[in-house]
Amino acid sequence: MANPVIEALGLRKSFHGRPALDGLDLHVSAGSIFGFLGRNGAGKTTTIKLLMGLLKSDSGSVRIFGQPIDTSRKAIEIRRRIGFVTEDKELYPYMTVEQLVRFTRPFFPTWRDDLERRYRQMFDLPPHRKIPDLSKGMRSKLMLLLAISHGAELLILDEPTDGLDPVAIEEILRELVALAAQEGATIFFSSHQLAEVEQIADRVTIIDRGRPIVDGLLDDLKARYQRLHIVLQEELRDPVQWLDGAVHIRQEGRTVSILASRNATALMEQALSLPGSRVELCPVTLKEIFLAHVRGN
Amino acid sequence: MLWMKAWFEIRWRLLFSLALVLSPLAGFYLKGVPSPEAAAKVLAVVALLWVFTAVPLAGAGIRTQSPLQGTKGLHGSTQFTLSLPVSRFRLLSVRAGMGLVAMFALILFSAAAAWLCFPILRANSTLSGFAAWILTVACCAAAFHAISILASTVLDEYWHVWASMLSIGLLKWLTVRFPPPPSLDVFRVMAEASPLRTHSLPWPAILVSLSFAALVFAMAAKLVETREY
Repeated sequence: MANPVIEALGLRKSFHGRPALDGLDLHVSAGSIFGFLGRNGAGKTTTIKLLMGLLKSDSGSVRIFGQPIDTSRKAIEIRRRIGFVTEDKELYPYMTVEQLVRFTRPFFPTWRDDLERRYRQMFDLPPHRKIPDLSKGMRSKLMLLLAISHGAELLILDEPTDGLDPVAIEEILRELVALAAQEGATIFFSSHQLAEVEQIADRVTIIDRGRPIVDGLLDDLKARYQRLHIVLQEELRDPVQWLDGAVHIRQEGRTVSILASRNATALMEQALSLPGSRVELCPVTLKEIFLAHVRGN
Repeated sequence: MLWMKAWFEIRWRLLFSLALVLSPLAGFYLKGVPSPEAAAKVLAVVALLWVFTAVPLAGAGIRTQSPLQGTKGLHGSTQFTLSLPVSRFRLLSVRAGMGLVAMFALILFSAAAAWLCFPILRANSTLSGFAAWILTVACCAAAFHAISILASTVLDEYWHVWASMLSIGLLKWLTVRFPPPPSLDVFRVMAEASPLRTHSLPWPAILVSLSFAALVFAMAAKLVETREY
C-alpha cells in the first residue's frame, strides 16, 4: 500500500491478563477515509490510545507518518500533525469555548484562521459559554473545530458525530469528505454508526475481540458480498449445510437467506438446482456485513 | 497556555487555602496576642496550615483537576491534554510550578498579614529575621508539595490528598522516633529552632528539603512518562 499514514503490525495489548488487542494489523493510506468498526469492547478505543501514544503495546509496532512513536520527542512531532476527537468529548470544565480555542491554538504552528472562522460559523458555538453548559453535540462540534482548525494531516475521530442531530451529521460528513479530497487529510473514523461510515469511508476494518475480521476497500467489499434470497417450493427437512463462501445463513420455513462473501454465482447455481426454487441476488449494506461477521465470530 | 490552564485549576483552591490560613489569624487578632509566647503559638499554627495547604495546591499531576473537589478516576479531558503536542514532563512541571508559585504567594500574603496585624511580632523580631523564617518554611513546604505531586501521579486526586497527609505524618513520626541531627530536622527548623529564635538561616535543613523535593519530583516525572492513561 502506498504512503501508509498509519501502519500497525501485530499489535497486542492486555489489561490484567485479558487481551484487548490480539495481533491487530492496520494500514491506512494517505488521503483516505478509513472506517474502523467494532462492537463495544472490541478494542477500538484501545487501538486509538495506542496510536496516540497514551498506551504502550505489549508487542507489535505502530508507525505514524512513517515514524515509530518510541520517544517523547517523536510523539510530540507526530501529535502536532494529528487532530483528535476523543470518545467521551470531555474538555476542561472551567473554560469557555473562547478560552479553549485560545488555549489550543498556540500548540499548533500550522493553525489555520480560515478553518477556525469557517467552523465557528458553521457550528455556531456560543463563545462565552462554559464547557459543562454545552450539550454533547456542541462538545462534539467544538472538538471537531479544534481538531480540524490546526490543519491536521491526520484526523483520528472516535465517534465524532455522537450527540449530533441528523442535519449536523450530514454537514460534518460532507466536510470530512471535503477535507480528504481538497486538503489531502487522512481520516481515521471510528464509529458505531455504520451508515455514516458507509457514506464516507474508502476502506473499512471491522475488529472483534481485538482481531481484524473484515478488512478491505468498501467498494470491493460491497462488490464481493451479496445476499441470496431463496424461496423453495417446500420446506427443507434438514437445515441448509454450511456452504463455501457463505458467511451467514438464515432459514425460515421455505425461505433461506444466505450472505456470501465469495462464490455468490456458484451458490446461486447450487440454489437453482433445488426443485422449484426462486433465487434473488441482492446487494448488501455495510451493516449486514458487520452483523454477519460479528455475530458469526 | 499551560500556565493559564494550571491557574484555572488552582485559583479556587488558592482562595480556599488563603481563607483557611487567614481565618485563625483573624481569630487571634480579635482575641489579642499579648505575649511573645502567644505570638510564637500563632506562627506555629500558621506554619502548620502552610504545610497542609501545600498538599491540595500540588494539584493532580498531569490530569485535569476540578477547581475545588477531588475527582475520582480519570477526568475525560486528560486524554485531550495528552493529545496535545507537549511532553508529559512539561505538563507536570508547569502544574507543579504553578502549585509552588501559589504556595509561595499564600505564604507571603498570610505572613505579611500576620506581620502587619500583630505589633508584638514586630517588637520581638526584625523584618530580616521574619523573612528568614518565611524562606525556611517555604523551602520546607516545597518538600511536602513534592510528596503530594508524587502521590498524585499514582493515585486518584480523591485519595492522593489523604496519602500525602499520611506520608507527612509518617515523616514527622520518623523524625521523632529516629531523630536526625538537629540541623537537618526539617520539622524542628520550622518551629522550635526557627530563624526567629536562632537568628540565622538553617541552610542544612533548607538544602535537605530542596534536594528531597527535587528527588521526589524526578520520581514523579519518571512515573508520569511511563504511565498509561
